[in-house]
Amino acid sequence: MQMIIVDDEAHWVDNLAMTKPWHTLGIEQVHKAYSAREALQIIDTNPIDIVISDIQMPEMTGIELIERIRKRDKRSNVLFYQAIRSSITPKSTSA
Amino acid sequence: MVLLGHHLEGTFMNIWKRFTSLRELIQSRFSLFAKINCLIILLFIPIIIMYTFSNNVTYDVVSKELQVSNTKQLTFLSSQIDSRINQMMDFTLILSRDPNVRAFNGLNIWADRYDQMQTRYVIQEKMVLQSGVADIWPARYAVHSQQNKDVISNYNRAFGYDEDYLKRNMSGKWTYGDHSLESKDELKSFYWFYTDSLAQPGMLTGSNLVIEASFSYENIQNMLDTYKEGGQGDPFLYHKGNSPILNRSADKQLSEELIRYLDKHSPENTTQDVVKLNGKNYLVSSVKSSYLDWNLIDVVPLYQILKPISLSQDLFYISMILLFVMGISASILLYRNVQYPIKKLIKGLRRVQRGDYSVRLHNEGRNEFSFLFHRFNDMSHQIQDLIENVFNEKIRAREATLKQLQAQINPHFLYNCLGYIINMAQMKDEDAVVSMAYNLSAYYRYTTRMERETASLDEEIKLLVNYLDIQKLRNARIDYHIEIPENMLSQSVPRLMLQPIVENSVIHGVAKSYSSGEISISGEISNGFCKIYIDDDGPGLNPEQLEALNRKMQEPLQEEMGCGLWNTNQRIMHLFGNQSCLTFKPSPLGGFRTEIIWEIPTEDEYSKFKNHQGE
Repeated sequence: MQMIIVDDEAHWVDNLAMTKPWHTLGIEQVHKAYSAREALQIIDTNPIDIVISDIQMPEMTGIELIERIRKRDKRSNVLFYQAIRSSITPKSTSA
Repeated sequence: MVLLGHHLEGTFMNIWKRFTSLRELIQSRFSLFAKINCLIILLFIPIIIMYTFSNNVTYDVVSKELQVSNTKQLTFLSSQIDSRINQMMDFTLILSRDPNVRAFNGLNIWADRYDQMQTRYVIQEKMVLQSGVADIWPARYAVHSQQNKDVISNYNRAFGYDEDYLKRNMSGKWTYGDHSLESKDELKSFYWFYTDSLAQPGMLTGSNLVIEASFSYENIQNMLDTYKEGGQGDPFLYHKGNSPILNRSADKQLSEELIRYLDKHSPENTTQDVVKLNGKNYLVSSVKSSYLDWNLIDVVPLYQILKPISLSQDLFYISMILLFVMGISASILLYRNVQYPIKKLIKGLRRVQRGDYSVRLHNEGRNEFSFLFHRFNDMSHQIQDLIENVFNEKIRAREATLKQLQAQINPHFLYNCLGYIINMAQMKDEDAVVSMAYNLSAYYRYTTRMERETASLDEEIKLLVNYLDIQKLRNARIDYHIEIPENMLSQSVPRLMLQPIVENSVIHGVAKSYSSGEISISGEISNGFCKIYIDDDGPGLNPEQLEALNRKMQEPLQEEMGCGLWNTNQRIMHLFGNQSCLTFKPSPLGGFRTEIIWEIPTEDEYSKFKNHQGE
């Protein structure tokens, strides 16, 4: 299985890709993308099964990214990144 | 604070209500000047009408009385003259029956010369006696005997017995002159010839006794003089075609004027007219003598007699005019002292109503109005103060809201930064962790210190460096340049004036696109103004959006509007005056530019500014 992590803030992508034990979950390769456009290019050339994405990104949001991916391939699973962030950081008091 | 604002608004409303009722009171007295003038005119009209009426009545009564008395006097004079003439005629008749007179016209066959002389003497004596009774009226008699061709008279005759002379004058009436050849203008005597002839009157049979009675014009003059002494008139005797017999002290010019008038309008038996001679009114009365066929004329200077009345009338009118002028002057005085200040007050109140509370009234005089004006000035000053206080309270309330908002926003910023620290720590990037933690601590130390409202520009710039370093760490695309002249750094500015603007540039500018990341902060001082430009190379705004944003800065704050930039603008305007503001323009970097301009405060303003900070 291959996976891609998408976020415009590089440190989130780098840390997720570098420090998490993805191979124990059967994920052989983790791709990194710093924009939605970059992610689409990688998806075009690689057989990606899981997409982890931030929602709020410049030029193209996470939601728009899913729409593009769904048009190409209905199989892929997209995981929203916000949920992961919440698990990493303490629960916020803000709305 | 909001509660205090409401309380102040309530006080202001009460004051305003009092003002409105005062204004209505003044407006009801608006036409005071016109009303007083009307009253004065209304007072004068009945007085003038009443006086004119009573004056006319007086004038009529006096002139009527004058006419009546004048006619009476003149009639009396006429009857006096007539009675004298009548006396003469009576005497003539008596004389004609006198035996001596008859003897004088007798045949004188038996009488000797002595008798004849005796007779003559007796007759003459009688005539002299008769004539001498009244020295004012010397009468002249002459007895003509046709029989004896002789004449006896009591005066010096120019000629003796003359048959033709008798025949010429036998008209049986009083005639003026004796038909001898005399010049026409000369004054003559009146003559009456009487004969006891049984034949037709005026016919001489040849043996008639003719008695001639005559009196000189001087007799008439005597009478006229006596009359004149008792009155104001100027009497004379007039007959058309003859020169008039004037009294001896007559006003020649006036008489000539009057005679010219009489020649045109021949008088009736008894007439009375008011005639205008030489531009003045005269009362001309005329009575016809029953014997003489002449008119007795009296002229009274009416204007002279009525002079006191017309004088008092003139005096009255003059005093009325003076009173009127005084009344109008009093009204003008009232206008100057009452209406004018009231108008001034109304004008001031109107301006207050329009919202101009800086209006102050000045009054030179020291009267009731100066007190009123003082109270007005105090009131508008008070209102101005209250409004300014309310406005300041509002700004403070907004600032409190802003600080609260900042406190709310910051946690999001904080946990993003903490997330960065966690990530970097997990990746063992020690430098990045330290750098982020250092900048974050400096940032929070500055933003959470709220005790002062202002800060130096240097402190503000340092905060920006912290903030932008944090952003740069999180997002590698971001790069910034700060170019502020040294001499600007000491300027005092509202705390956190620049940070919201730079945050705006980061969030809405460079973070919107992968191609942008440039932020530039530059400053300059020129012409007593400080200018700071905050530029970014983000997508920017189109001209319509820019214009709308600029307009919103000038309008009152709407609830739904984001208040960060508006509040910064209000704080700058409040601190530095109306010429200081925020403006938004397209940036030379291609994105959005925020321009902050403020006036550098002068020395005494600066000290005030310091005091303001101390509050």
